[in-house]
Amino acid sequence: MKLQVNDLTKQYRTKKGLLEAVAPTSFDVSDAEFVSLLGPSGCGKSTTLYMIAGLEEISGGSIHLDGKPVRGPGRDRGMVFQNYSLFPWLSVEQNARFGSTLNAGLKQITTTSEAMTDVGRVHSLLDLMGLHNFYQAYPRELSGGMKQRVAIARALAARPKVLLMDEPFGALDAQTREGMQDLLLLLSRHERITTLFVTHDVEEAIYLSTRILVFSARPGRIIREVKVPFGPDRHLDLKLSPEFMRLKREIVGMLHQEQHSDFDRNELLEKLVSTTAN
Amino acid sequence: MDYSVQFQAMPAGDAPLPVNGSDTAAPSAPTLPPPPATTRKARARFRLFALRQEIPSWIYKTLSIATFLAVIGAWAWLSHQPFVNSVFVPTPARVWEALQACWEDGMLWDDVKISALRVTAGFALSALIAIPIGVWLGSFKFIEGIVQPFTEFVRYIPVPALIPVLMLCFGIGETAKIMLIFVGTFFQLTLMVADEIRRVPYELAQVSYTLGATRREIVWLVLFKAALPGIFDALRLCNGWAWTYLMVAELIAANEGLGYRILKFSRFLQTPKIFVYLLVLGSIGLGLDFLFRKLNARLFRWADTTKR
Repeated sequence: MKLQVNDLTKQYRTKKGLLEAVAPTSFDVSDAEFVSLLGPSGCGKSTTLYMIAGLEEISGGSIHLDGKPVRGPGRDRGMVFQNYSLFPWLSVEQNARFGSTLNAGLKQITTTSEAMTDVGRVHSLLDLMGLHNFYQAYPRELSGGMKQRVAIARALAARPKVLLMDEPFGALDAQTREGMQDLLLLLSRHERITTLFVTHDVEEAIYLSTRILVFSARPGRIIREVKVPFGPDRHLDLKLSPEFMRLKREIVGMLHQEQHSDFDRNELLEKLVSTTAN
Repeated sequence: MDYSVQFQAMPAGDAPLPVNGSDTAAPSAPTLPPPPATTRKARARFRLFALRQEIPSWIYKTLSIATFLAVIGAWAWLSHQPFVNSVFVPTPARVWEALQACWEDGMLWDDVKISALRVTAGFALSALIAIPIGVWLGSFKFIEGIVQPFTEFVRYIPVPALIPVLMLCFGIGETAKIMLIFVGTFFQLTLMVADEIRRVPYELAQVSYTLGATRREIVWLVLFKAALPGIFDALRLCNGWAWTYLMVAELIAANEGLGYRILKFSRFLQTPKIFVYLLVLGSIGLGLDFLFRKLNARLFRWADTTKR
């Protein structure tokens, strides 16, 4: 067992009183698993991820990584954000090596050979990401997809026990996103990375994950756990297969059921049409 | 209502505005077909007045130089008019003679040297202290609570009003003059540096945390580094203010310096020489500003200059 989340809750204090963002939530992530947190925006899935990263205080419950309780952010939980958040004053290579230049990183590197392997690892990560010609480029010279590849390399270079990703491909166009998804599949297959992935894209969640936790809207809680039946070897064709479609329809159905609307939309539509006609 | 008619009624042939977004760094945009000849003029005018878009640099430079020439021309014309008293508006020729005179007896150069020394000393002292304090102020709410309200209070006290206090504390020597420039710029600069730190996206701090950075490392290796171009720009503005406080500083028992000399000239109605000194002050300011900008662009190549 790697990551254990027990009765995790998040409440915000507002003027009207306490606002529950995440209802008591429990789940586990095992070694080399790829787990997606799927749900509509504002359902607390990102908040859950931030609490696991230690970037957001928890209101209740507990988080354990390899049996040790999580207190505050740390190197063992790498994070990739939606907006890339590269350091604009550092080159691609320096960005990827940033973790090693910090005190915490330097402590882990004590001998020259360790330093060599560290540099080698960063280089091979960047090469794998297709960035071999961009070591010296600054982030502003890169496209969105390239920036996100640098961000992933930077997170992996620190050898985290678990990789946390917050809608990492949300700002990318459809083609780039598919390329990135394949890259991520390749990485988790070869590096055996344990990943916790937040998304609102059903297709993306199925394509990448071994397991999906479907969240309901506020207060966020897990309404269903879906095991994805496909093996580690996945290709884009999979998205068009009947099994994939069936699973997608099932999950979309779950999300729709949750969206109980308390007003009649047809009535409002008629009202709109009548005001336009006048 | 038929909406397609409305769309056709809009002016056709407008090229899409280039967007300075990071996500649009496409390898190459397809070239647009050449515009019809009739609209070319209108399009050129549209481009020159496009909101916040670049115009050709030769046009920019020509416009800048033309403004200087126009002002000098207007001045020359005005100074030769019978209804203008030549005591108040000297002709360019007389100012030129005065410049040569001031230069030849070494007075002008000595004044420039001593004034530059005062400004630089006061400004450097202010930068040296204001930058670290501003960085902490922008990074920690705790320090903001201690420093910010008081700084805002002092900032609104007019600097000339502090002259008596400064004279009591530092006498009437160089120290008092330097301290006045220091006081005039320090509080502003501190707040500006803090603002630049606050402008750094919080995500950069968050991602550093997940890479194992300590708070001290985040403050100095991330927030400070990210804010450096902005801090450098704040220094440029502050240097300008330091030069304006020079006039005030040289009210304190000075017997040399650009500000002091202007006051003395005005007492004797030597307007051509006043004009010489004004021109020198303006040129120093323009030169320093140019230097700061060039240095900023050179030091911080990584910064996205289109967003400043």
